[in-house]
Amino acid sequence: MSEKESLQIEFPVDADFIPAVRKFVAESSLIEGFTPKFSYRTEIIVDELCNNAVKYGPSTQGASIKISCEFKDDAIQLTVQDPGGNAKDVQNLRKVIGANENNTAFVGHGLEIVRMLTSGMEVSQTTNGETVIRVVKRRSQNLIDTLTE
Amino acid sequence: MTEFSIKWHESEDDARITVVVLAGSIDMVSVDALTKGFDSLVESNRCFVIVDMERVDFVSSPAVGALMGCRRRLIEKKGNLVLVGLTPSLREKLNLMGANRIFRYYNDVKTVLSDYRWEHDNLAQKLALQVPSAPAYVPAIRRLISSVVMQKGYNRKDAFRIETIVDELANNAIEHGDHEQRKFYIEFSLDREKVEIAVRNLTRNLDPALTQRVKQKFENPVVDDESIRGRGLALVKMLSSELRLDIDTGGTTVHVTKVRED
Repeated sequence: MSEKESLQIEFPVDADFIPAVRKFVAESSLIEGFTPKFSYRTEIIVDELCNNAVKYGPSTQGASIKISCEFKDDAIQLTVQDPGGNAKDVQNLRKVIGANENNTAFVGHGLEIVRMLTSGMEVSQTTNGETVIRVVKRRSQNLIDTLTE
Repeated sequence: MTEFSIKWHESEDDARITVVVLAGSIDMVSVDALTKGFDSLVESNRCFVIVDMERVDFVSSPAVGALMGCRRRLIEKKGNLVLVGLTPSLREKLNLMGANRIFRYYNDVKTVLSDYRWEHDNLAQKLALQVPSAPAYVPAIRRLISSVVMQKGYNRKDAFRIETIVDELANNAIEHGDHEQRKFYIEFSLDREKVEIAVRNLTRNLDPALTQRVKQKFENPVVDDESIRGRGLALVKMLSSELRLDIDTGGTTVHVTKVRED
């Protein structure tokens, strides 16, 4: 998986910015040679992660959300970082992300959609207390994708 | 149906804002209590009110009328009243009563606070990008900026002019930057009155003579009638309120201020 291009966006914790930002990331994936379907799904992932960041992030003036997109030959790695949350929140998020049919922790609709559309998701916290969610979406990550691509 | 209740508190994030939490069924009987609650708010000069309707089951038309009356009195005092947390069915019922033409609906209190600060504090909001140095990205950047300014209430004409400036500066940054670095930067700041744009590319050891030539061209962008190129900078200068160039050892940054015209 050789690295191609990367993109970084930083914007205020304000829902008004999300439609423009998600569209920009989707367009960028088209520019990098991914299919319109892949691009649309990427847009949904960005929308859900950013809406969560706005919902749970602080409303203080100057607080911002950072998105990083690494475009690779067969995948896109998205990282969304927001200044909200604490160690307990991150632990809860890990539980939610780790939930499956055998482990029925409550999963919000947004994160469930993100989990369905990606092949990997992890959460961490920076030393400044920022919450970081990293997801990887591959070109053909499951049978449904392969059949409908 | 649960019993009607009305409670209010000062917003934790902004003391100028009052959050009124309504719950239960606001029927004919409850309208009096609702009106009295809002009267005390208006009298105590709590003029910006968010009404949280998340736990409301039913709203009668007299209750909507009472909310409208309260909003009118708050607006007379330079305040406002907005609704948050409407369930889809309640939203539909309110729309049938025409409330959507009077009230602004929000999904959550945080978005109201953000809008309130944008309107009243005129603090700048910032968007920063690090983008691959490829011309294919320029239309996407243009659309991103245009979409943000329109979302924030700028009109189409201003948005078009701002995106034209961004387009020209981004194309210049890509064309004249160090291609091995494969990236350039845009910082975009906007408030209700103006936008500030800074586009930076990375360059290596610019020749002093070339630096001088760039500065001169920047000070006095001349359009050569014989050439099909070189109109970008002249266009940016025409559309901008202020234009500044910084050249340092690492790169070149063009700063533009564009005052809102509408």
